[in-house]
Amino acid sequence: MNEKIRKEVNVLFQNAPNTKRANDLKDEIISNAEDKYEDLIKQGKSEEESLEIVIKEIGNVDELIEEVKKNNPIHTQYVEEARKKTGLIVSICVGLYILSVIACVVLSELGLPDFIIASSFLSIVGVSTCVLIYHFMTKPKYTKYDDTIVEEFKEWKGKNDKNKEIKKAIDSIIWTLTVIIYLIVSFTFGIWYISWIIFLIASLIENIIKLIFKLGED
Amino acid sequence: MSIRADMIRGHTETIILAHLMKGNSYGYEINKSIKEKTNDKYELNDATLYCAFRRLEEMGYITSFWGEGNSGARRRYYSITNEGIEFYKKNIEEWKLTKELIDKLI
Repeated sequence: MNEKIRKEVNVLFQNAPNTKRANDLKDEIISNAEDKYEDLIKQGKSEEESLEIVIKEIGNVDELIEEVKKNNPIHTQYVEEARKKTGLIVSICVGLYILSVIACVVLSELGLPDFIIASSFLSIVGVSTCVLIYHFMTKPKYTKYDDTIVEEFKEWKGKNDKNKEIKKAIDSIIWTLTVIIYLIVSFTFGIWYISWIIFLIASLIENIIKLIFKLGED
Repeated sequence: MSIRADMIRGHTETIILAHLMKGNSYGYEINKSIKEKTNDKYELNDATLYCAFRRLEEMGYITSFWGEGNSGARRRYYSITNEGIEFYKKNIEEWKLTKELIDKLI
């Protein structure tokens, strides 16, 4: 496996969509480029010279990538559908948040006891928060690799992805915990006027963890 | 003398099919044989070659499968389908006719 060729081809594919078609095309280009490289070496050319010729002859892959993008209706349709779903869910939840405030005003105008106002407010907010968390935690990742990609490449890329996965998981845990703590503390002690500070603390903790990760990587 | 690319472009697909009529093959081998047959006078550039493969595959004239390459990377092989053979024959007939006409005209 010629790492130099692979590296160069990867650079050419930087802006390519991460789809089966694009990955297939990349693998095809790599194997053909490697054959050409071997032939050039056999003809007595130097390694640098051969590499340069091979990369130059691959030429402008942008045109090819455009083609690959265009011819991937399943992928674009999939992304489009997912985006619509996310849009719908987020708007419903934001709507519920606004509604919860309106409900508070209306209920207190009606002269209902405080605990009823508080519990209806919290139920609405709680439900929409749960829906949002569930949606974003279960949302599929589009950068997921296809099963057809070479194992070697997977291994090579694997480390990066693993780090990303861990970071995402930590983020989800922090924010879910924050919401739980916020609701429990606020309910138990009735300190709604100050308990929102938990979100600021959570944000601080998140950034500290990110910093630790970064320092660890360097 | 090098050949003007636009004179040949319309025949890229037929050239590829002609090679696949002799058996399964892959991108580099096809291009290498084009270069050898024409004594280095003509060669497809990579973008043209891959685009032609995609088009032919979409139209059902060729199919592809993955095999082992020399250095461990997987290699994409192509083979011609029955529809591809029909298309190739039709193109050859058309070319014969075109050649005849052009020879008379210029």
